[in-house]
Amino acid sequence: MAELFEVLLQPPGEDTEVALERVKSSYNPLHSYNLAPGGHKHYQQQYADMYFLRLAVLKPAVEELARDAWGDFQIANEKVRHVDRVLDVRQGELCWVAGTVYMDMPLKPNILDDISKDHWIAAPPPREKYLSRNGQDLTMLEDESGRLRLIGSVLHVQMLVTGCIIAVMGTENADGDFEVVDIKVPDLPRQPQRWERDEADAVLANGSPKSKKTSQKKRDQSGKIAIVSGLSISGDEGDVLRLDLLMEYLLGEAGGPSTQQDASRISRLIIAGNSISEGNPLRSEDLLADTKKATKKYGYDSSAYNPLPTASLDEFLATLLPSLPVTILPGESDPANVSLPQQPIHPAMLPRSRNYTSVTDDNSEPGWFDSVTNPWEGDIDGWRFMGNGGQPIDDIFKYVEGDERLEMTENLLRWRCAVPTAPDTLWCYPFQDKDQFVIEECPHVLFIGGQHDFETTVIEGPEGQKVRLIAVPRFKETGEVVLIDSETLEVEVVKFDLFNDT
Amino acid sequence: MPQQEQEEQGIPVRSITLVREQDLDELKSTYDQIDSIHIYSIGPSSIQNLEVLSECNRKITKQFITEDPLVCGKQYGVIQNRNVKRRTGRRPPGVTPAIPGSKPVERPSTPKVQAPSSPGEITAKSESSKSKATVPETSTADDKPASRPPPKVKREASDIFKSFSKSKTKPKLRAEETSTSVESAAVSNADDSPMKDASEDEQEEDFITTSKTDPSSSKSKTARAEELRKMMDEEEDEEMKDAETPAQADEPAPQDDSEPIDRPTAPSAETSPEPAVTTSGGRRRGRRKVMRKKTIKDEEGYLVTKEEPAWESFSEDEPPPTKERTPFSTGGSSKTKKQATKPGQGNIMTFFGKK
Repeated sequence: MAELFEVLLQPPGEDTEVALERVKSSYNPLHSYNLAPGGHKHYQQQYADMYFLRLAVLKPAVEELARDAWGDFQIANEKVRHVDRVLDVRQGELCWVAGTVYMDMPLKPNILDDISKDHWIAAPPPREKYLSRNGQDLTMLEDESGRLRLIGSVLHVQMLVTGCIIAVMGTENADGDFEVVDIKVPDLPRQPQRWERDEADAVLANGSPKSKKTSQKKRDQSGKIAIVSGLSISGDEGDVLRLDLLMEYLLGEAGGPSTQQDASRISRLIIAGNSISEGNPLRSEDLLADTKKATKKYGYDSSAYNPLPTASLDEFLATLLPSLPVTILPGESDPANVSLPQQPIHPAMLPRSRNYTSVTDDNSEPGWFDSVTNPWEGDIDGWRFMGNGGQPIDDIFKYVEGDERLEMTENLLRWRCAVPTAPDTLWCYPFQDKDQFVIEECPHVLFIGGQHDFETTVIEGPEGQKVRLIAVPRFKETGEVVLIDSETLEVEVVKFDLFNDT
Repeated sequence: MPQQEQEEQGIPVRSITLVREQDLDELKSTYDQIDSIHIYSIGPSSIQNLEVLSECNRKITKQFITEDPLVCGKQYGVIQNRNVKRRTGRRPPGVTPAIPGSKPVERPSTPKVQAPSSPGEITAKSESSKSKATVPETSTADDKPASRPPPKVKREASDIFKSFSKSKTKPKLRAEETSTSVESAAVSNADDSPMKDASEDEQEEDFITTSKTDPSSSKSKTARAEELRKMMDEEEDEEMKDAETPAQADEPAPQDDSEPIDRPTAPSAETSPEPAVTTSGGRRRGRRKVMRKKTIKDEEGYLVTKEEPAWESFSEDEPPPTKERTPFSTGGSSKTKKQATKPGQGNIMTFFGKK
């Protein structure tokens, strides 16, 4: 073992060290979740359009699957009939119908409660789960025509939340409830080939298929992609040593030559939300009301705003950026808008790092430091990556029993909806022309930030799609960073720790 | 700092752990494989709280903030990346040119104010360790780091600039208090050669015109402006008037003092409702009063829309609002005439003229 350490435990030699060179990252982000800037963003629209659009897009997909499965299905010599609308379901008749799930839960936050808030003595505490113990929760299937209450044991097997599109088969009983025999979900959408989009872009740019071959050949070995979430920088001294270790590791300043060699293969860092511990540096409305009577101050007020967290984050990023390209997604606690899709953290908040942002305004060339939306999708090293800061999963968690984060993540793809519970229990932008949260192309990697533990699995789709799902743990709590090999999509974990530190 | 790899449900986990020397063996026994061990920190005594070590990193980043990481990173053995893209040029307007502009203005005033400011400059210089500035005190050396700020300097520079701009009006005022003569201030400004370079015609014009006018006329001018403003207040409703008083109290103290003393140097003396407007390097900076519609929620939860005067800082090369400029330009030319018509109906005429 001794020779292992010799490199460092020896007098400085004559020969100078050769600086390590970092592996190149091929990066081609999509801007699917960028909203129109400024005045073109309107909030007057009704959210009903989103449900309508979602159903319109996903109904054909799920009906196709259902028709394949139940086309000539028979129970007791009665053939299953396809019913177009929920309202057309007839009592006692075996049929199948597609629609949107709506969970009617007494404990779910209700907009009417907000309005009647004035009459509360104390607000009810935020719920960990919306599930009520005494079975008051109802599962409904709705479309533009009406609603149907679903019952049956299948409902306990299949995870369902508000907003997902499904097809159900069964009969309506005497009580008017629909007894479900089987459920179909849209399942994984088409998955692009690796490099598909980059190649298409290249062909478009060069105009000849010949260049496609050459571009394919000159691709060199891809490196690894590091994903970290929940840095939770608070700006307080005394809790940042692990962050320093992470920084030193990524820069190749920590560890022996072999470790540094490994670090040089990390070609990109993705920060999946919650970089800052308290994103709203301004006090909440209630707190403000208390201090309102105090002296009024104009302009910058240091007692109301704490600039340290963003300054520390800026410092962290500005140190990494000369060596490592960074993609940053906002999360729940970051200084971005609250409603999904969260728009990029404005680079003006990071004065040193913003020198590395994109030069052009029209997104034609991605920046070295890319502040992106949450959720976000894009191509890295040819693979389609998709990720969010964890809010969709945390919200689904409230609807269902248990804490199977990976199963919820998988269901996002099976439902083909990146944020199914918006706009019911998650705030989101009222999309008008298109429900942007419908997943049209299946990603190769789906990462969820801000989770308790690291988890990963590979799921497969009906057409052989393979998706790597990763739950990225909060760095502040676990000290863990996930590395994805961008050739094999294998993952590994790097853990930063302080031993016996009191 | 040992390093190891261990298998956990097929997922390789690599740990980087910081450990005290006495715990090293204990930690080593928990690992399957150890890649490397290296010393992170060395000291005469055991550190109680390892987090203290992060302070070193803070210090380094603060001290070498001016270093260009793309140049120096290689020297420190950071993994290099030849694909890095960084924006060059296109600095935020106002920050960089403001430094040479604002500095000379205050320099001639009093050495007392300069004393605290120049050490700040020196520390900034010594922090940019590689710049090798030789002459620390002379004004030419002062300009050097400001005129070629690398992107890293920006934050440092803006801090310095902030301290300058805050104290900027003060020294001027002091100069007037001691000398009270228009000439001395004008001369002291004229003595300052970088000032002439930095300032543009507009500012020089200001000096010429103001030095020509005798104090009495400018005093009457401020009085007139005061009256005009009073009139303006009257046309607003009562609540407005109330709201304005705190806003006025909020404006910088030296400005309040300056009105009775009638300071002729600053261009703001001419535009009394518009305090602390400085023109430097072709850019106007200062604060102006604007009426803002403000919708707030009151205690009962109702939305109330109020129109309040607010002070808004403006900068850069944006032209001053024409609405404010017109009365001043006419006032500058037909000064005496206005003065004659002041008592009586003249006020109404100016009132309509403004609209």
